[in-house]
Amino acid sequence: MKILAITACPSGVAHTYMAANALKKAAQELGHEIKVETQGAFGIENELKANEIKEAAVIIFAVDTKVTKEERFAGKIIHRVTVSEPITNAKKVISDAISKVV
Amino acid sequence: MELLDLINENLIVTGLEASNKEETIKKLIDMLEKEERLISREKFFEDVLFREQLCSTYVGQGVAIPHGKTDAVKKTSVAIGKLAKPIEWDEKENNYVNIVFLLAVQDKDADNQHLRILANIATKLMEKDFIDNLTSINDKDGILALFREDTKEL
Repeated sequence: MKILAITACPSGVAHTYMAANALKKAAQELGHEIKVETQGAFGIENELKANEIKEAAVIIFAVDTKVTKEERFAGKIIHRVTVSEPITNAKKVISDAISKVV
Repeated sequence: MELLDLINENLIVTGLEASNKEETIKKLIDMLEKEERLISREKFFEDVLFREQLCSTYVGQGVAIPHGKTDAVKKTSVAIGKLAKPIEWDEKENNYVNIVFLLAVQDKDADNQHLRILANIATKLMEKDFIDNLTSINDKDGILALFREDTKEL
């Protein structure tokens, strides 16, 4: 399944990047395709493109702050969690996101 | 790569005696203060506690990374404390920690390299092997070497 995610935290120093790594690793282990956009200290990186958003089954927002350019995801299935949830249990976050689709 | 800008042996403590989160953070702040990394220790303490209230900084495997990106910081730094005894980090979640990384980030730090190193250190803290190494090593040079090894490709 094609999954997209955005990670962001208030200071954008640590959790944003930890959560992104954790999600990528867990998705790979569970056999899903994932692309993660980080909104942290370096601004938006690995930005999700319109065609990718169109094709994605579900979008994970792992954020403790506002999602920048959230309007890109209008009409999509969103699974919203805190930024720390993927850090401690990324597989559950992905399974929960997928359960919203099927 | 300027890892040594961020951390030195005076910013690492092992066998740290503390009975709770606030005391642990205060003792790590003391080290930052002594190394002249802060503008205001009181304000930085408040900023770090404020961040704690927003969301837990527990990152699994007995590790927490309290942090503040604020104007109370003079020079972006990392202080590392290995606790003598585990302390409770979040009452709600019942998480106990024995290694604490306090990240002090100068709020106008435009040096992306510093932030990359911090993000890289943070990512390392999720790896079991890295935490196993960190747990077993108790001399400061050994701990510094561990980070040097892992940031040299940056």
